[in-house]
Amino acid sequence: MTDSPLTAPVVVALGPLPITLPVVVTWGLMAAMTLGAALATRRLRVERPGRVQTVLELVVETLRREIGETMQADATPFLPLLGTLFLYLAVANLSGLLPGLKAPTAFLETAAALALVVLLSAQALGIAKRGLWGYLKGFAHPTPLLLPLNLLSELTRAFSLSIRLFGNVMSGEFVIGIVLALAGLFVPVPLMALELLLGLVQAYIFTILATVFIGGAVGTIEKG
Amino acid sequence: MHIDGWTLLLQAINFLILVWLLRRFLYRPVLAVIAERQAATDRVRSEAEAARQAADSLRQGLEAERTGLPAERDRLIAAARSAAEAERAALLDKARAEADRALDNARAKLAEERAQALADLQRHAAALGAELAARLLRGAPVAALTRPFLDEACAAVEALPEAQRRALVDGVDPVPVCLVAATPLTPEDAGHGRDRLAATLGRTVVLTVAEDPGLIAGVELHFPHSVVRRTWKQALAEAAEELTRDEPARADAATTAPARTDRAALA
Repeated sequence: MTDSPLTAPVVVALGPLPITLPVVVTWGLMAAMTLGAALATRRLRVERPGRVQTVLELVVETLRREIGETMQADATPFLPLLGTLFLYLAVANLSGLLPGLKAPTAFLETAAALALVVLLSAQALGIAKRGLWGYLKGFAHPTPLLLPLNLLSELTRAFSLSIRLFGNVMSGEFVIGIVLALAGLFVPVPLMALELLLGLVQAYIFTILATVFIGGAVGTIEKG
Repeated sequence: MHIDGWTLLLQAINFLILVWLLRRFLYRPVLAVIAERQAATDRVRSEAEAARQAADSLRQGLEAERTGLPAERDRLIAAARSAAEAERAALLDKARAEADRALDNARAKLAEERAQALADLQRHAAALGAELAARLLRGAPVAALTRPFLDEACAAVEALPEAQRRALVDGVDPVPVCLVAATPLTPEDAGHGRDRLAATLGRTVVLTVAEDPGLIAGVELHFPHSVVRRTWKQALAEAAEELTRDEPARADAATTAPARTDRAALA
């Protein structure tokens, strides 16, 4: 009997703790991103920045501007969370195109974990910004009758985030795998190019929706 | 479909760790560089703005100065004109004063020269008149006038104050008196004179007689220290002296003529 392709394969089990493939790949991506960031930011200069520094500044400044425009507030306090979310999603989504690797986001656990982090971060930041009572009152807005629906919508938004990401990435990899199995070596290349685009688009969508959720929680924008 | 809770938890933890790592190694240094560059840019911009404002203020100052140049030029020209006018007026006043002073000096000098010439003419005319009178009178019969002149001289001695009469005799007795006449004296005239002088002086008079035609007419009484003259020579000399005096002095002399005559006679 074959395991479900939707199930994360266990690479190694540390007692009762199973270390699955997406966790291992994520560790690799984390190591690569951290090492790359440390190396790239080792010699930053104010005058005459190099190409790598210019790209880094462009990425960071673009992320900050997009987040700020979406939240309609200063994005600097939220940049580490939301910027890392976009960068990790982009790298993780594109990592599936590498031979022998499977994108961590193609597993529901990873998408659910990110959605859970966004959900909890939104609650924590909302409470920190508006106070517990002020934040809770927001769920009874505009009328207390909508309190159950508002609470439910918080959960469904996180659920939809994770399902959207998981479905898109997983389906893209499945299609490429099936085409690769049925056709030749270079036939899936256009699909891989499309998957490249889809991976970036999904990372952008996930990040923007997370930004909207957090912006609604801290009160800078209306809740969607 | 199965969701592995451990994987979900580990992935969530992994993501949070990645957030911390990238915050430490990516966002913080990059944002710091961007902020530093922005600060430098702001500083340069503010310096440029300050320089621009300084240039603007300098330009405005220069424009204001340039706008004020014609007024300043007019003011300087007006000041120079007024100074030149004042200097010209001062020079004119000074020249006028110097001309007036020179004119006054010339007038004074002219008046002085004229007065000097007039005085010279008067002296010359007086001398000429006295000379003419003396020549005319030398040929006149003046012997008959000796007695009246002698009486007049004796009367003059009598008219002197007591102190002066004592001074004439000088404490000697008899008093030597020399009677000089223009013409030879008769013994009667000489005796008459001696007697009258002795009566006036109250002392004995030793009279000697002499003759001097230069006197023209009249007599002179020579006491030990004084002479009493009553002669035409003296009269002509006094007249000439009076003519050569200034007008005010001459008028003054006219009022005091008799007394001065006596003093001159006693000199």
